[in-house]
This record gives sequence, C-alpha cells and structure tokens, in this order.
Amino acid sequence: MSLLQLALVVIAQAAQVAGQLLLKSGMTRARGRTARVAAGTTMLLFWFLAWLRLLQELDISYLYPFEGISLVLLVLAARVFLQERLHARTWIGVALITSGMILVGMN
Amino acid sequence: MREESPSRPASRWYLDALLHLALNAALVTVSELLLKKGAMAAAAAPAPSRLAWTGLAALSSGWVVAAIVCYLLSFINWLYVLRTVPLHVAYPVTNLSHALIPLGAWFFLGERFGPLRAGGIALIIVGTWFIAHRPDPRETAP
Repeated sequence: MSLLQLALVVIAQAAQVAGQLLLKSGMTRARGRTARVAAGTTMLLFWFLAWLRLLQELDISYLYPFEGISLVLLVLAARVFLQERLHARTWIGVALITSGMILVGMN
Repeated sequence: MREESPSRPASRWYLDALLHLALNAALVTVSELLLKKGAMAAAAAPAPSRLAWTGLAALSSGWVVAAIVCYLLSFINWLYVLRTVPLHVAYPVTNLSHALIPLGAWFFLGERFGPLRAGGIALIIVGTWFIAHRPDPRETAP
C-alpha cells in the first residue's frame, strides 16, 4: 500500500463516518434536514468513488481492517455527537464484527 | 430508539425498520457483487486515459451501472432506516454485508474460501445478532 493509497483510505473512512453522522442528524430533524442530508450524501459519494478506485488497486485483505476501524469510530461518534446510549452488547457486537471482518479479509 | 420516535409506530410489517435494515444489508451485498464484476471487467480491459487514475473508467461497465442503481436504492432505504433506528445499531448491522458478500461470491462468482474466512463470517453474523437483538423491547424498540 503506497502512502497515497493509505491517505485515500483514511480520508475515505473519515468521510464515511462524517457522512453517516450528517445523514442521521438530518433524518431526525425537520429543520435543516435537506442541507445535512445533501452534505452527508456528498461525503458518501466521495467515499464511494475512493473505494471504487481502491478496490481496483488493492487486495480486500488490506481494506477490511480499515472498515473495522471506521465501524468502531462510527459507534464512538454516535455516542459523542448524537448522544446515543450504548450498551455492553453493542461493544461485544462491534468487537465480534470487527474481528470477523479482519478474518474474512485474511487469506 | 424509543425516545426518537414515540409518535410514529410502524403499524405495518413492511414499514418495520429492522426489516428495512435487513433489506439494506441485502441491497449493499448485491451492489458490491455487481461492483466486483464490473471492477474485474474494467481491470481486464483498461482504457488508456489521462483520467484513468480516478477509476472513473469503471463507470463504462454495465455491471458498475447496475451496482450504482442498487446502491442508490439501498441509500433511499438507508435514509428511511435512519429516521427511527439509532446509528450505533443501524450501521453495524449493515456490516452484515461483509458476511453476505463472501457467501454471495461463493454462490454467484464461484469464489472459494477456507475455514478462516468461514469463521470470520460466523463472527460477523453473531456480532450482528448481539447488536440487533432486543432482549428488552422497551429499551430499544424503534
């Protein structure tokens, strides 16, 4: 993985987390919904194009651990920015899914 | 979830948020499998272009266009899910696609995987169950 690819992975996953926060925050309010959903959609569109390119260049085994990291970051962000209450089983589930994704990515 | 949508109970089964969450994982899986087919086709016949580095040449593949259509459908579905389901539940559950994609690749793309990957798929399914399962409906009902 080149430095450029690593940077693209990190930026893409950050866009994924920020985009999902914007979408969720937009869909649960009446005022300012359109702006938030539009901004979130733009972020996810960037993620989609970046991921499309990375999938052509890299093995999925390099990419899956980063998906796992963004899953953990997203759950943390939902707690910090959206004040969602997390449960113990949420963390058990996240840990299982992340390890599962890393195993799936390994060959 | 309850605190977010006390006034709009899902009265019909096809409006159930968890059903749509499962539908979302299925749509994302179909989209990724189509995308993989398209990426393989594009990599096999690369178009020499100054814009090749963007990966946009893949858009010329019919598979990729079909993948984008599925992705758009999953996106509309996703917005509906987000109206009621907390993000820390909804997003991890969509990662079920990471179990469904290798399974779909086995059945539809002829890919084979070993016990390690099979174990990973099992972990993802169990992890998703932990997050989506609602032992106390009053606590997390959408």
